[in-house]
Amino acid sequence: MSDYRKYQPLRPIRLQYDFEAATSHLKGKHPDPSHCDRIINENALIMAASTKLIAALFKERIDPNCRERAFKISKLVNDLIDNRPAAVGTKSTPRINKDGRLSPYDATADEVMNILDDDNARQGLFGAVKGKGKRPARLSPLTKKHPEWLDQLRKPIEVADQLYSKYLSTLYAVQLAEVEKASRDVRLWHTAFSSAYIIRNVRSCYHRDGNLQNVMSALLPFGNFTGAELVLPRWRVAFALQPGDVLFFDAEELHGNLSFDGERASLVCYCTRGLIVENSSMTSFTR
Amino acid sequence: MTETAMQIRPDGTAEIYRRGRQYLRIIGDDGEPKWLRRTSLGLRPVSDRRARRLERIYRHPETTRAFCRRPRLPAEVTVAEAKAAYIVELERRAFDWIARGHEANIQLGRTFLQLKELVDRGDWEAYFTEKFEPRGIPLRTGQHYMQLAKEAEEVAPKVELYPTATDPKAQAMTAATEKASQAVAAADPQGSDQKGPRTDVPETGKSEDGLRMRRLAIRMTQRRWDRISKLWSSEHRALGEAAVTDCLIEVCDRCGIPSDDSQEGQTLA
Repeated sequence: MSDYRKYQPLRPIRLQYDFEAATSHLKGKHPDPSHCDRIINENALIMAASTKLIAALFKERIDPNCRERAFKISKLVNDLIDNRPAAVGTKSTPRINKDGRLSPYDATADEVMNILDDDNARQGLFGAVKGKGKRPARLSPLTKKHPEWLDQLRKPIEVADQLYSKYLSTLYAVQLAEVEKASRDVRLWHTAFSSAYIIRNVRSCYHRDGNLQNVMSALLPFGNFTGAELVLPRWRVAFALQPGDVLFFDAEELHGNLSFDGERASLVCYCTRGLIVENSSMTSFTR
Repeated sequence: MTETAMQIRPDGTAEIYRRGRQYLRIIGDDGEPKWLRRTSLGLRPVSDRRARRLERIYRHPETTRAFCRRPRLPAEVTVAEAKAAYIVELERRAFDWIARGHEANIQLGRTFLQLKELVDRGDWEAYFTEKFEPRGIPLRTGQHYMQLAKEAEEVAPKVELYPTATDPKAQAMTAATEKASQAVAAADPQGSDQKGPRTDVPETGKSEDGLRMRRLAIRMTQRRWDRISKLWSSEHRALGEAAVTDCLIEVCDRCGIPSDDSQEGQTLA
């Protein structure tokens, strides 16, 4: 039996201090190594002083072939990161028309897009796109266009799902209930995830993801890189993630990456908000 | 795997790993041991011959390698255990602070605040009365200490724990954002359409000819929307804008909305 399938106990780590108030201004700022007092690089279950579950890190859980396949898919996604200004460390500014006047529409500045383009930064969303108001969750255009790419990501997503159900069973049950309540088809195969988001070569700034609340998102890094520790400034803790690791954390918490060298992609599996809408016309993508 | 590994449990059950297979010893309803083999279809009884061999191994454990599986506790159990241990620790700490005298009241208040977060909602007063009143701290006093702790927290000096990142990528991104903001500040805001409150538009929001622009959110069918889009992209757009404005002014009159400007009939046309 190879290492990545072995049962390894999680070491419980309880963090003593909560810096919530001191981190309120950090959204959109770049993480720095001085923002964390502790870097976690082992199988661990991280708790707050009040025993609130913060994160769970599993080392070496994804088989190298799956990693390789997922990394190849990450190289194929080609959407520009023009809709997540806070995550890339900038802010939306009004567009400037050719005549020099301000447009009523905001956008990520061209200078910023050029920097991202130089880094070959791209994103791709598979599965369900967040519903809003009366608008139901719907399939992302990328899923419709390239369902075979999503198939290539099936194994790592299912491994993350198995870890989630085995080690964080209560939260998993909550998430699964949400996915099942919405519609039988609104999920990635038989997992508790509705969406999988790939982002490539981006050093993310502190941001919060608008995923389903009070459950966990799974983060799976791929590629060949050094650095890129994920920082949770509220707890002053960072996770040294390497290809093959799986990290579960609450994406509602402010988080961001330290700088890195090399090629890096990450796959985030989560359950999106707004799945439950009356008379939803969600198309099935379960195969 | 050629080696035989066995775990014998106190209740007489056992697990044997031998030649890549897993065998389980269970005690049947008749009190007799039975041997099962794990297969892809689940647990299946082994043949009598194999059962005799396995029983022999079981009775001579010195020939096998012992192993012991760790209990696979879910995270919630670990958390619950940690929570219980933490409550005990905080209680002990609270008792310590009570013993130390008046100067420790703020610290005691902090401990009470932490405990209050952990105790179920609505149970705090009963919990406090049961635990701490016998130690000479009435509920009101406890609340006073908690208030002191909160006030002390507010006046505590804020340490700069989160300095700005200084790596080249972060600096490049910050510089690009700054440059874009400066370009926006230097751009002519006259073209701005109304889109919620906007700080970069002058307070009057008027162009030199005294006219303002309004974006209308009007619901319509797709066909109408397509047709109007064609009009808007044609040279007759100004005519359309004038007609819409006239129409809205007419509705204002009909609804009795008074006008405070004699020149309001002027349109963009």
